[in-house]
Amino acid sequence: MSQILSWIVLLPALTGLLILLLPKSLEAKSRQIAVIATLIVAALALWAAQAFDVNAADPLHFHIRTEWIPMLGIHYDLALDGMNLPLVLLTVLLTPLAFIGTWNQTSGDSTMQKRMSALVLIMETGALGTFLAQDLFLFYIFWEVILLPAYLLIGMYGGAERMKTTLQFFLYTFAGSILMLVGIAWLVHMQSQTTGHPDASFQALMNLKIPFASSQGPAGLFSTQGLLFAAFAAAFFIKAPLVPFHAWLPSTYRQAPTLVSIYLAAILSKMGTYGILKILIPMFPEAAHSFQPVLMSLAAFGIVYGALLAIVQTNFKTAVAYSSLSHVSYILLGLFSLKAEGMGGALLQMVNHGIAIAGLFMISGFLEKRRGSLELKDFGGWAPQTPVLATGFMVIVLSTVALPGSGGFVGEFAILIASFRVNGYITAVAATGMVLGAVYMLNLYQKTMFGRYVDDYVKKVADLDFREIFVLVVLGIFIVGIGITPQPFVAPSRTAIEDSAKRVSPNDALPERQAVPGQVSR
Amino acid sequence: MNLAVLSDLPFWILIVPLIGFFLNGVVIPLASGGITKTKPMISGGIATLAMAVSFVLAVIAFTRLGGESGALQYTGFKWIDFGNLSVTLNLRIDRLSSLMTLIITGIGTLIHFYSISYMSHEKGVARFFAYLNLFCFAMLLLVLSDNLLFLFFGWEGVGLCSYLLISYWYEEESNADAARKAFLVNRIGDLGFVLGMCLLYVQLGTLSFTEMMALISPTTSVALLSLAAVFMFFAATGKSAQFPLYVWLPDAMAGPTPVSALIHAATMVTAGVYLFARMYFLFELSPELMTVVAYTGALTALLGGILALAQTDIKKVLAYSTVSQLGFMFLALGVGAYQTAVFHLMTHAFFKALLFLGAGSVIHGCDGEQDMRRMGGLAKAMPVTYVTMLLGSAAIVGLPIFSGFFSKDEILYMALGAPRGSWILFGAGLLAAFLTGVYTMRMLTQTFWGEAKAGIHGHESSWIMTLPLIVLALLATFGGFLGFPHEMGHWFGIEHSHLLSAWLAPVVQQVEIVTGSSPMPEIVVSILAVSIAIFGLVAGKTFLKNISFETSPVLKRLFVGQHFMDTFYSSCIVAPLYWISRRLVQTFESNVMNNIGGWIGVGSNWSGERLRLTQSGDIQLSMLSLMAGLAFVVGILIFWVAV
Repeated sequence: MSQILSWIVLLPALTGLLILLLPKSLEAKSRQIAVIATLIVAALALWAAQAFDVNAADPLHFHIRTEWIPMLGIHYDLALDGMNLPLVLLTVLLTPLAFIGTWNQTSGDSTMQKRMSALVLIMETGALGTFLAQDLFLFYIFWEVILLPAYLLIGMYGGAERMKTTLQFFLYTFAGSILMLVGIAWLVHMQSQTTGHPDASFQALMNLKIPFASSQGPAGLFSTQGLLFAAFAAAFFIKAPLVPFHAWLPSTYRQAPTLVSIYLAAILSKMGTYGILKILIPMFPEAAHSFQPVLMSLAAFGIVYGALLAIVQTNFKTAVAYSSLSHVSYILLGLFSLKAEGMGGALLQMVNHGIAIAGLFMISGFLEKRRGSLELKDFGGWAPQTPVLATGFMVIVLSTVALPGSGGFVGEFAILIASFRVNGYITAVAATGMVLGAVYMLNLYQKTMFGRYVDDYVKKVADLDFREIFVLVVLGIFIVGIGITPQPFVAPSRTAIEDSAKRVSPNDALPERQAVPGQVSR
Repeated sequence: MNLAVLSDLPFWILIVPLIGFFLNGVVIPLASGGITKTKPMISGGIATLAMAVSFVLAVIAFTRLGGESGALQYTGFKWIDFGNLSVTLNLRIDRLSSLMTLIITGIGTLIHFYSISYMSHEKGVARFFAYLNLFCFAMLLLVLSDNLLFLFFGWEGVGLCSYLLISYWYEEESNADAARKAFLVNRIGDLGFVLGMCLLYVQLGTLSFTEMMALISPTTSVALLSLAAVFMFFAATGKSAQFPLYVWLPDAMAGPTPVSALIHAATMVTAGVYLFARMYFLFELSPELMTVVAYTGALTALLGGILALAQTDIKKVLAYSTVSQLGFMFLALGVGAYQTAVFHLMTHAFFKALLFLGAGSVIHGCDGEQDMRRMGGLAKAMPVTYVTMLLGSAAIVGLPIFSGFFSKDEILYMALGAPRGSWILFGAGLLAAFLTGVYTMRMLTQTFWGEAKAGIHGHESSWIMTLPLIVLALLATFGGFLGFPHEMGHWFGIEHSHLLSAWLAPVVQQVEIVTGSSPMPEIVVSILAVSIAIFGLVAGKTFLKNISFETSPVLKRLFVGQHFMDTFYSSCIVAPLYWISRRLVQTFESNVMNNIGGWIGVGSNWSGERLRLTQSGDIQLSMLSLMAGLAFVVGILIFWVAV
């Protein structure tokens, strides 16, 4: 089992390629093959997760490291650690669920099913590789693996404006990627100059001292570290996205087929936030500190901005897309707090957001399949006809509005506490997202589920079938499970994140709580 | 009972309603083949049984609390421990929680029982009872939690159940609107709760009540803690329907009447009062804030009374009356009479639950009619409802020996005699007491007395509905003796006649009125208050009987239907919010953001050209060119690193 991570990462793509080669007679079985492959991957990852030892001396579990291109210091280097474990599990569990939940929506053309399954499997490899890579070049390669399948999926199977959308998506992410590639080359070049032999592994690069102009303000940006920070930030902020790098998001999420929307919003956006947690903050700590006020303000602005735009949308899927923008901004707020509980809350929130947004896009798929439209004016009065759908939708709404007892609350609470320790005013602005989020989510819920139905089609609307119920139940279990006992979900990441926080906020003593009573001035 | 089992009591009190929720929410619908086929007797029976068990356990807990500082502690689990954030879930029953638990489970059981009959015509009644049990679970968590975070779990949990139950008849758009309004207004308050909680945690490093109390001494004076108190007060104005956030409560009457009785009168809306009583040590840090609290309470009491007069819907009268009575409680809190506020919370729970259930019986008897102008002469047709409603009315008006008499007089006495009290507060309280008399009498006159109106005959409800009325009527009549004033107790030779005060003294603070410092003794205040109340009753019976705000255009605009606060919110908050959002969509988002796509990396002309190419369906070509570009850049970079 020493190569287990290789299997986890490569099995989806290999299956994907196999599916592409399927003869016409077997095409109809492509989705079954895809689901089986993703379930095997999930089983392998769960096995690896249960063997994960929080107290192990070496934080890198199941470490595989082989030289790949020695001249450039590139290694094939995979390991499971505290930071990527939650996201790996999120990916391996959501992928089969996404297939199962959208089963009836991709029916029909078997060639289309074949291509979609194959491309989504290749995206899974890209996501898992990005999370598990311990080498910066390898990280980049997996990062790029996503791009082509996503481009093709939207371009081939998206909505009416798919061509314009997919090109916009591609250009944005590609621009970010190029900047990151330049940054990586520069970084490895520096590393090679310092030590004499190039090594692109995270560990080697972490030890690099990168010069930074310590003065506050824009001067810092034009030092080496500032520029490197900007190069990496461009890629991550676009992918996440952070306002104002989000222009590609609304149309992409809306135009993409449901399966791809789920993948983009639940998993691919986490590659951006994970990059910030794993690379941007620990590698460029001085720059992160220096830009913290700007970044936190942008995140708080993004929360409000996304929510305001979501409120006035008339299309279900666009509203969900903007809600995602708002909620990802919460994650960014937690990350930029540079406090352990903020970054931990952000990591947990990545998982929560992945679950909730996957649920919302699935609901949007359920609605679209039954109604043939996602315009809110076409909906209303579904709850009596579809009580199971109404209940499942409600659970997901509750996590989205961060009701205590749902996973969403835990993350947001930790993030707000951490953010409050940095700046109370920014936090107060960010916290208004609590109210605005409830406004648009309850609007969406009410306009679809409550009220009188707009015409008689509702009487013929079928409630969820077995597959759809299964998917929502699994998501619901995680939402409530994380909400009630979050500790087991955050415990594996604790050491890794607290160490990372110490790098960037060395003065934030951990744990601080014993010392606090003395601070109360009397 | 041994100690180990005792310490589990809080857990079981809490969890039994949750089991009821699970049974009604999942098991029963599955067993009966769909939620629409569930039977009121079975669903209601299970839900009521769950509450009854919880009540019995609460009584046992009450008897086993032990000495003054005695408490039952249930150690839960480490909820989160990460970085500087560490919170443990523990439950704790002390004297205050015990009282609250008894009120919630006791009145809860009665209302669940009543609902079996009240909801018997409904389809899919399991949903109703599941929500009702879930509500009780959340409310119990609110009072049993030993720290602020899990109090907040309950706080938002009751809000959710309130939302679900107000929108219970969701086919009506207006019910769904009312539910959403309730949730959102409460959320605005909860924003204060979260920020206050953040401030407290950052300042004190803990959210546990006992630990916070130990860290905050009466002499502490920290501006930030006072700010936290302000935030908490804001949260309480939302949940407890105080000015200016009371606007959701009247709309919440869209829910079934037992919901109004349980949630919007007896329990949930008093959560703010509980929060103050629980955290008096925080609020007492800021006397200025408490003065604001007192005046807010007085204003709310008056405003609620006036608005109650403007209503024609029997439930709306009671809703504004609740707003008014909650105002009385905040008036008491503001002057530092925390025990008095809890006392009024308790008596109000008795008589307001009674009045709501009575109104429910009236509505049930009149086949769903809620407009009082179409009722009349129901006394004969509904004798039990009539008599119990009379007793409830006597209690809310504060006639001697009825429960409201003791608690309201105590509030008025405190409003005058306490150091933070004043003639203005006292006068406002008296005026509100007068209004209470007027609107109560107006309600009784229009529904029970006079001539029966055409079409509405009325019939008495079944014993399932009248039995809870009788029990509550007994409580509303005699419950006040738990708070027999010390001063008057002495005349009868009784030490500590104020049992409730003696019970709460170890856990809840109460301002002391030094003998002689009050402008009038308590007995004079009582006589004055009773006279005013009777004057209100007489006024309501005679010259204000047919009062109608509809006749005056100004009054109508200000107080009837969408009254001035609703207008204020919709034009000054909601409309601008939507306006900004629409502007953002039309300008910034659609023009600026979408053009950035044209600026980055490639010239806008280039992308336009590609666009045309791709639109002709040639994906391969554009992909190929992009890939070629990527290969070129990668090649250069590799060369650079390697050399």
